[in-house]
Amino acid sequence: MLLYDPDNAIYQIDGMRMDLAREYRDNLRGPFSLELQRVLDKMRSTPMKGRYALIVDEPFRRFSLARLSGERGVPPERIDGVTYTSLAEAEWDLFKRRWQDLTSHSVTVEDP
Amino acid sequence: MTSATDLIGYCQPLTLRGGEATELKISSNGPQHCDVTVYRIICGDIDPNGPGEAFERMGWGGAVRLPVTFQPVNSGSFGYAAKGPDAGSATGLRLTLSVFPTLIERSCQCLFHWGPLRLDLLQGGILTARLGETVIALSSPMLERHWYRIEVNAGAQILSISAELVTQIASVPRQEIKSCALPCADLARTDDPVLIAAALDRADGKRLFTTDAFNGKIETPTLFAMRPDKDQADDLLAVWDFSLDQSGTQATDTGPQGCHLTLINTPMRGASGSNWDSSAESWQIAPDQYAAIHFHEDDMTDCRWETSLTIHPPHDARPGFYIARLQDEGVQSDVPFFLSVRPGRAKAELLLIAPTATYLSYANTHIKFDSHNTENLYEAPMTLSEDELYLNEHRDLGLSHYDTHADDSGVIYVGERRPLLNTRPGLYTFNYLNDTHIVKWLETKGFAYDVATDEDLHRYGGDLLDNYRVVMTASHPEYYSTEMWDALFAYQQSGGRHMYLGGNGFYWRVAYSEAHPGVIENRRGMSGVRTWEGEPGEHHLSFTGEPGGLWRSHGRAPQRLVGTGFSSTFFVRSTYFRRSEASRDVAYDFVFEGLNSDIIGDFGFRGGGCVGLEIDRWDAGLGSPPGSVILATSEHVGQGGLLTGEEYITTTRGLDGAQNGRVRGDMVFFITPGGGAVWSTGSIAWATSLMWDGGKNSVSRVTENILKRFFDPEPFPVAASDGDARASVSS
Repeated sequence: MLLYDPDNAIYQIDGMRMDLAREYRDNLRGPFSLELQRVLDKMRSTPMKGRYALIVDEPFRRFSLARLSGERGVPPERIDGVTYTSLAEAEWDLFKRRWQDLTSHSVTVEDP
Repeated sequence: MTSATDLIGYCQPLTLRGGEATELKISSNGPQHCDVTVYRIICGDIDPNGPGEAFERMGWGGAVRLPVTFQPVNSGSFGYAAKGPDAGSATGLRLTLSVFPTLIERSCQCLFHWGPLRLDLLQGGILTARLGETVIALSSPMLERHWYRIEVNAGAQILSISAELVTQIASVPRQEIKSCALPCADLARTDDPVLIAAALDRADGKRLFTTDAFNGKIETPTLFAMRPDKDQADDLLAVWDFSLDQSGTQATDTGPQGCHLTLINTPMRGASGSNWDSSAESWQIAPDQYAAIHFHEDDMTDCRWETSLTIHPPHDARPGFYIARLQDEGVQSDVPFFLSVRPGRAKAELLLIAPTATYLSYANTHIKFDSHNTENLYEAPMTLSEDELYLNEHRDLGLSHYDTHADDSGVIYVGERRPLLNTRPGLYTFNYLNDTHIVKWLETKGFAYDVATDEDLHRYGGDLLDNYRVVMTASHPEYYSTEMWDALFAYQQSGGRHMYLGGNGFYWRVAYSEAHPGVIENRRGMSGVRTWEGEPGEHHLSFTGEPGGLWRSHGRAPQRLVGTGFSSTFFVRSTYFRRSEASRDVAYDFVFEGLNSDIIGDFGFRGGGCVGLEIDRWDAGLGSPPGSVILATSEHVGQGGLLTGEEYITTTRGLDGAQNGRVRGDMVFFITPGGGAVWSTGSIAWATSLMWDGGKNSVSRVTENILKRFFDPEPFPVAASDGDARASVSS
């Protein structure tokens, strides 16, 4: 049987490409340049264990950042103190966090 | 924040008619009482930026301060007989069976339990036999997903266990591993219950509670009685032949005593056995190669809760989508049910079919937690609602057809006798909620309509449909039984008018079964958009014997029924339709009456357009009928749209909507014999655009134009839509 390989996403993000971060910040829902699309595909294909997700604290109004456990039945772990009031705010923050995690470089583009 | 999970419940049955009753079964995680109020749903979408939630309170079916308590679920499938066979003067028992373990990382899984005799699989694949206090273990672990033939001898003279590897593995010799131990005199009695694939924990009234559920296949468990005289042959006590009665709920004992087992929680039948050699793919053709049952610790098709309240909708209650709302301080939780029209008692000319097979297939899905591809598919971070977080921690509420079991095998059976936490007003914005946009549109426009469910369509077929001038299928009627497909086709052929307001419809072949009320079966097969792949040789439905999988694989691509068939998914950016040149024919003027633009639906509550989520396209080669016309087609689906796997057959590039012309939605119309017609929107997001601007929009207008013409008894002229639709579109 064909099983999930958590290390399947092998694309390497160039952490210096702030032009891609800027493109995403300015247009969160795309369409994206091919290079940015690859970045997003990579970010959305990372291993389930530890992957960021959003917990709905108050529908349509407040979300908390969390990390998935990667184990059936084990709840996600909230990241203390990180909440958002819109999905757009959350998506931009997740992008920056993932960029840091995957490239060891910070996103230096200003927030919207 | 109000809790939606401190009280949970389900209605049994999910579908009923006015004058019948449904049993509301509630479990509490805290409150000791709750109030119950029944509402008819006009729109269940609670998004403040959506079409506007709307509910109509009913004066019947409610209760005040109803006592509630916690009700446990016993998940895991197993076979059970209240009494074992009579072993007479036996001095021991011999048990033989074949086993295919699929998850060895569990502390204890019980394969067979009869009184003091147990056969267990321990952590890491160590097989043990226990007789009373005496336990022996095999010295070598069993390997996952390989067949072993097991023999246990247990009695006054001996306790022994042996396992022979049956599967041929390239790197492992066929091996036999044995252990022996000192004897123990304790023997099973006929009064002791027999269990296969679980151990008995306790019996609580009529309910059984089991423990140590087994994950894997078991084949032909057989029991012999050993006699004191060593020269005397052992007596056959029981042989459970799982190749028999594959569609039922019983495991048949063909031995002299007929100690049949009842199968609980629907373990997988039609499972390939230890001797399956790929010469046949069907359990009906080669039953001897399908003498196995696959059990799972997380099979669960009936919570078996006690009834908290019986709801009696009056005879004249309006057909529709309903909820029983459970409320206590700080708690509000909705329990869905459907009131269907009684066949032959139509009160309207329009019938809306609620696709309950689709709702059940998706019910309680865990893909946000279990499927690595979900975020990529949705192109957005996973947002986890209270319901989804609860389900993740309460896997005993049963899985969806999109999930895999703990042993990674796919989920074949899903049932309605459990809380359906994503089939109610809330944050799961797919299927059920989207279909209530259609309900709200019908109400807003003042069209009279009846409602029935997929189960009704399956059961009553033409007796249901033939009462209506127009039948409307909803935003995502994805799962269809043969009976449902045949009934819709026959309706179309007899002058019926069919409006298909969705996408990715008529895609999977499923089966209902009188033996398994409330359960549907689906096999994923080897093609189609799937979150898991069926196992070789296991693509045939156990309920009916039919080959499962995509309808397209069985000569009935959706195009044959509705002119369009699944092409693509995209969940973030929806797009719009543009009128085709073919639609300029005067025969189609009625469709576009009142529109002042060729662009239709560049708005909507899902992704900002009426073409989105899942879309379908016209294709004569796949069965779009001669004379079918593409009235409009999508533009600019873009790279978010991904071509479904069955649409390309060689490894290739350019599969997204910016590059591939098959990534599109087509709105299709065709005339059927007897003056009937079919109109397909080719997109799920059509339904979620209807109520844009309060229903004053081009999507709404086109739908209204079609519906009004479909109400008109004037037959459609058969010759009006000849021509090559593709040529017309591209001209």
